[in-house]
Amino acid sequence: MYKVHCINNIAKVGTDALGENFCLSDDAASADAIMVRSANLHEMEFASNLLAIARAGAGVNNIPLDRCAEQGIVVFNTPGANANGVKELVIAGMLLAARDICGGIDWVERHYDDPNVGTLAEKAKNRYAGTELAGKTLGVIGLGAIGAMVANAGRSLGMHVLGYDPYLSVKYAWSLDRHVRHVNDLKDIWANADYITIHVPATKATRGMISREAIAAMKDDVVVLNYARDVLVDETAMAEALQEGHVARYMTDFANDNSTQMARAIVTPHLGASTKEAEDNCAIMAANEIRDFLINGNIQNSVNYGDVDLGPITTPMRLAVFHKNVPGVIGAITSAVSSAGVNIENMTDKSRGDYAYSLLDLSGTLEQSTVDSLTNVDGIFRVRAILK
Amino acid sequence: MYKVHCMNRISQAGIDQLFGTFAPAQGLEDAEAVMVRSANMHDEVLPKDLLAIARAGAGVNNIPIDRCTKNGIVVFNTPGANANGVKEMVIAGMLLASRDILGSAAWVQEHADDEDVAKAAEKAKAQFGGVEIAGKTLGVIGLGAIGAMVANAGRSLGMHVLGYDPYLSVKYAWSLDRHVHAVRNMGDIFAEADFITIHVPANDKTRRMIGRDQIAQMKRGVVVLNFARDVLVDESAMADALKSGHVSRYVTDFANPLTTHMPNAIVTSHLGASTVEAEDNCAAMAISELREYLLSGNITNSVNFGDVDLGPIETDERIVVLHSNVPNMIGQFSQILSDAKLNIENMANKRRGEVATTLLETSGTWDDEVIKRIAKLDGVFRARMIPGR
Repeated sequence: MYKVHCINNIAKVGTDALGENFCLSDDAASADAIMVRSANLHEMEFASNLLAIARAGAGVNNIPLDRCAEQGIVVFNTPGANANGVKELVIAGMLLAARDICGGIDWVERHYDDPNVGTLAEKAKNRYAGTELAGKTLGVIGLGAIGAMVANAGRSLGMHVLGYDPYLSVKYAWSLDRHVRHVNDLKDIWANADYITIHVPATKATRGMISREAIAAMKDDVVVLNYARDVLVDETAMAEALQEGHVARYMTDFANDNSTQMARAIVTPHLGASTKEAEDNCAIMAANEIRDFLINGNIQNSVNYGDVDLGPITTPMRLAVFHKNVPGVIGAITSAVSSAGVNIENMTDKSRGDYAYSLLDLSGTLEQSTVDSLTNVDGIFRVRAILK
Repeated sequence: MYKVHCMNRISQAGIDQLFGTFAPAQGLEDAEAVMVRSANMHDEVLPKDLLAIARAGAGVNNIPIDRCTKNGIVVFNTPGANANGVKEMVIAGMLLASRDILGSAAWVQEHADDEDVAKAAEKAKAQFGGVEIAGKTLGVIGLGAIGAMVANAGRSLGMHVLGYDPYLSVKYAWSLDRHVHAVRNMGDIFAEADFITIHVPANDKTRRMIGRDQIAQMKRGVVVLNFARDVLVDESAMADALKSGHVSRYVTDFANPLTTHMPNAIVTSHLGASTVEAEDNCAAMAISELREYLLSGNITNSVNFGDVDLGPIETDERIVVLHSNVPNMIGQFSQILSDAKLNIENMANKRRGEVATTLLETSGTWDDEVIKRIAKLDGVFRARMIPGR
């Protein structure tokens, strides 16, 4: 029976998805896995029996990834589980930018006690009129789980859609509406799009990618939507572009000292994933990741180890080795196994940065002493022997 | 050149199209045709020479239809021209109802100058969370130009869609996503739908169709959207349902003293058709309707006379008669024509309720007396001749 400790309130559909062989525990020290949402774990000490931390959500800034990797603790997140939630917010953002619906509602609220509010509204409404999305051009930067859904939604709303993603995966390429036009140069998006939405992770390469030059290259009256991360946009340049009227609207889900002071920005307080469905999906996905890892040793959607999948265990023992991505480790593993007279039926090894993970299906079982001796090999953080 | 008067401001694109074909009238008093948006015409005197009123938009509550009919004035509207504009508002309405985006944006504005607004936002945001519309059930009442588009949009947003329309036309049936589930009973929508949106015209049958009993049949927590007409909903019953929480949100485009005082209502200032595209489409459609009727006698999208279309005039003249739908009218017309030795080349007659439209194309030597004799017949509201080739 594996023990799972929940640090934040995790949706019940998620803990239910763990299934048999799992129980919830209030004690972090004895847990095999931790489920967490946004609680900060940087100061937390992890017990030596802890195998996995699953973040129900996308961002993992709250988890010490390297320290976990060196202790042989796999950290998972749940990319895409909130994709539809974000997609719907992007659609709302485009609609609120196209027509001043907020202004119209505000006008009604200010005149709520006027007996002639209906007649007055007919006169006032011109101020809040706007345009439609259909027929306009939407540029989507980043076609992962969220970007691909947004691009398809744009198509179904009658928009022309340009998509940019130099790292486009087969999975998302497949899911895209065939009328989404793939562009190879962001300049095509700046030059043609009436709406530009960005859906990329925040990395060194993407930080500030909506730069002053990029903004200057955009069409007049463009609407820019940012439901990804605030650091992707040079917000000083954005504030100026809004002030000058070059950018018509900046829709952002990130309230900060810059965005809250901008003219013509509509700022929401990070609501992209704030739906019951997104929370449920994240929790279910996190539970599935933990289950497949604890029972089978498979890794899917880890942020500190590579993804490895040998399916369900079909041999007497499966050996999982967490190690440094350095020469000689795999040799040490295989020679230890063969010295024990056990054959390797299947093996896979995946590195990610400084860390690597090897998974071996063995024709027989190893003695505990063999497992222990492997654990002592330089560069190996942890060895798990999982019995079928 | 026919003289046209615009009761409301229309777009420059519309003006260019209109006055390419027609001349501007001095005012309503000397107009032969009128373009109107939402200006109220109930108290206006309708001049004798007025042949047609085109409403750039769908609702015609601002036009005295019966008086127009009796005076032989054809009233047109532009159904469908604003459909996409309304559809996009309905989508926005559903999204605003399912997550408190408005409340959250207001929260950010209130805390714009807070020291660490980003951190505070992470704490505050839970109160604005909600649900997604994907996977929910949308009930669409009325599957005309707007309802059909809304139903399809619901499908493409991942919703289950139920549609109700006992008068569904082939045109819109054809346009519907095949996964839109047609229900024969509105009760099915009330029982199943998480979102209910209504897209029917306001008439005696539809007035207050969303009444107290209907609301009581709806699921608890339902969102009701009204971007059609406020009179379709019994708003005092709606106010009670919002207070009790039975209806979670009423999203309406109609501000009135009832809606503005409702808890949990989102009230917009009649913005459904307030887009550049909708106005351009409405104006273009209204102008083309007027042009067809004034220059050819063909009627499309009239709200008081039946639609007739004989195409372009191929003969020397075409006679347009607007009349009561009573026996022997056509007999009398043909008698007058044959008395004048005019042959009928083509004819079309379309009834609509108690009135009818007849188009007659003749050959022979024209005599102006013919029109005067037809116009004098009992039951004829108006008769006019349009010269052809």
